[in-house]
Amino acid sequence: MVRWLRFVWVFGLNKAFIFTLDAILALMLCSILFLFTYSMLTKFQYSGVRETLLHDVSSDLLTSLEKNGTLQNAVRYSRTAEIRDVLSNASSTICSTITVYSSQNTPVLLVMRADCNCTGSRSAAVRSFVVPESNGTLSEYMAKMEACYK
Amino acid sequence: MKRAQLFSQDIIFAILLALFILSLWVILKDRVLHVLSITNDRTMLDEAASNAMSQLLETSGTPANWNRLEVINDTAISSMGLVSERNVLDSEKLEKFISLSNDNNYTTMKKLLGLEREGYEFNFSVSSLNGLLLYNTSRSPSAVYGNASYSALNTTAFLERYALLNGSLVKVCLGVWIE
Repeated sequence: MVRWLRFVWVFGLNKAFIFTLDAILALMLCSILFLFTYSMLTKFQYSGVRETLLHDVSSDLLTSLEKNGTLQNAVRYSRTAEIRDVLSNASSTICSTITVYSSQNTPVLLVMRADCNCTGSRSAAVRSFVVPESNGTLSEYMAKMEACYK
Repeated sequence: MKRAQLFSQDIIFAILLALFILSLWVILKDRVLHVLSITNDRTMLDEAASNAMSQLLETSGTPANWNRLEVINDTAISSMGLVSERNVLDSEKLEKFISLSNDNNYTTMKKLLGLEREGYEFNFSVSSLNGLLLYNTSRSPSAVYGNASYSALNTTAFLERYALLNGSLVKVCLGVWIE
C-alpha cells in the first residue's frame, strides 16, 4: 500500500520537498467542506411557513365549502362539479384532492384536481359535517382534503 | 559547524497553504453570515405575514365591533379581524379595513397586524376565484421591484388563502415586503 506520495517541487535548483498524501487529502476535504457548507446555505430556504400555509389553505377550503353548503350538496346529489371547479381555480401552485367519507368510514365521494403532479411537501386537513336526510335524520360525514405543492 | 536552514521551501509552501485556507474561511464566513442573516429576515417576514393573515381570517378582532368605533387607534383596538366567524368575511369590516389602509391610518393598521417592524409594507386584496378583483389596498411594492411578480422575490412574503364573502368563495391575498 502506498502510504506516502512524494511531490517534487522544483524551485530552480535540485531542491525538493515531501508532501504527504494525508495532507493533500486533508486540504481537499477542508476545501470541499467549506464549499459544500456555503452551497448548502445558499440553497437553504425556510419551509415551515410554507407547510403551515398548505394546511391553512386546505382548512380554509374545507371550512368554506362546508359553510356555504357545497359539501352537503355534493353528498346529497352526488354532484362533484362545484368542488372540482373550486379545486381547479384555487392556487395554481397547489394540487389537491377532497375525499368525503361516511360515518362508517367508507369513501362516498372523491374529487381531485386534474393534471396535477405533486413535487413538494404534502398536508392534510379534515372537517366533519352533517347532511339532513329526507326522513329528517342527520347523517354524519367527514371531508378530508389532501394538498401538496406542484 | 554546519549551518541549518531555518526557512525552507517546505515552510513557505505550508504558509501559502495556511493562507489559502484562512482566506477561504474569511471570504466564506462573510458570505455564510450574510446568507444566515437573509434567511433570518425572510423567516421573520414569512411569520409576520402568516400571523397577520391568520388574524384577519380567523378572528373577528378585539373588540369584535371595532369597525363601528369612532376612534381607530391601537389603544381602542387591540387586534384586527375581518370575519364574523372563521372564514366568513364580514363585508362591513372588510370595507372599513380597506378604507383605513388606504388613508392616514395605514401605520396603525400595520401595527394592529403585527407588521410594525421598520420597512414592512403590506398590500391586501380580495378577488373572486376567476380573478375578478373585489377589494384592494392601494399600496404595492415600489419601483425597486419593477414589473416582476413580487411573490417570487426573496424580500416579499405573499400569502393566498380562501374565505366566504356573501356566500361565495373568494381568494384573499396578503403581500408583505420590506422597503
